Amino acid sequence: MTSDSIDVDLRGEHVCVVTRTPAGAQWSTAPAALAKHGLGSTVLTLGLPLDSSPASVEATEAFFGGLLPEGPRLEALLRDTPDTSRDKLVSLLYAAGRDVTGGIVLPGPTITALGTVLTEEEAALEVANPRGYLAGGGSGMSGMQPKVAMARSPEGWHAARDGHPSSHIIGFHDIVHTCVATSFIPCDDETWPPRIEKHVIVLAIVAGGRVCRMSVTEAATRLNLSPASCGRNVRFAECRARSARGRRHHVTIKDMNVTTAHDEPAGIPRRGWFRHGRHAAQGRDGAVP
Amino acid sequence: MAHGRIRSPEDLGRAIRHVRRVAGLTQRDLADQLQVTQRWLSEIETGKPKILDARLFAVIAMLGITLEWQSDD
Repeated sequence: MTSDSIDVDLRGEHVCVVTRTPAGAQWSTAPAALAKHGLGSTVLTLGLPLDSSPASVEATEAFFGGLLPEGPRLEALLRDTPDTSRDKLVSLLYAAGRDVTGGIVLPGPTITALGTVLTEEEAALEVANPRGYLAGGGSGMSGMQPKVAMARSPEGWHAARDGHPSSHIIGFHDIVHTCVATSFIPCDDETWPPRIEKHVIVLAIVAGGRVCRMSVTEAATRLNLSPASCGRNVRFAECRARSARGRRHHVTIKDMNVTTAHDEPAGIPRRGWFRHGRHAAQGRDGAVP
Repeated sequence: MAHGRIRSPEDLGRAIRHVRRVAGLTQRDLADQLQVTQRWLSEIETGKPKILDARLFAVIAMLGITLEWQSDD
């Protein structure tokens, strides 16, 4: 593995390689993952089905760019990464390495012990005031809103660090009150993923956010939290899929309101590198061209 | 042995493209054998909705039908 190619592990399983090409970063499925999960499997993400051909640069950069830290941490990463090429996503991913969030680990499995357990109030404070602790989310919403990466264990909330699989929590914006999370914590207990989603919603309420009726939906081996029929701007459910068994887990919180981060209210400065799959902006406050 | 599940026109196209390449055939080769145009085959492989209606797969999914494929490569 070099800074020109990065092995990508998903929950300890090698699933693909991201390679620097003249056109940009390009993603290729590992043969073992293809044999195990099958062509077209969305085990990694719905946007990058496993394939025997390399994925497009656009799709690759949209997803993996979303894994990068954001805000001050992205600025520091840009400053500290000695790569002057126009597209240095691969270098940034390599440098970010262990600090990307979610079940994906780059450049190798380096999971460490979780930090101190936070109280619900401390966790809520982290979500409500994410400055100084921003991390990428690996979703189409990266750069749109501040995010907090924390891990939920049976003991409670922890600050996720050093590549530990985490829950992505999109913090509350001054205008858009949203808390959406996707859990990736591996656990043999099948009931745990739905339960962690419920914990996220409860945390959202404790932190003063407003959420809506949610469906915890299986997509391949992942579980996603999907707002359901609660307002004009809810589009999150569109990119969710039922599992092959058609099993859905419902978590219902009554009397809630939500605006997803897919909505783009006017006047909110966007930060980050990627917007709708395109390389959009570099540097602080990222004025999107 | 390659395998996969077909849930959409894209999945079907991906499977066809994979098996064609493993067989060492270009789109032109296969199109000539099938007596279809290369463009038609290309659209099949990219899952263009003009040929394969995504609603068909929605019906299949709604009814709980699973389409799977495998090849010997």
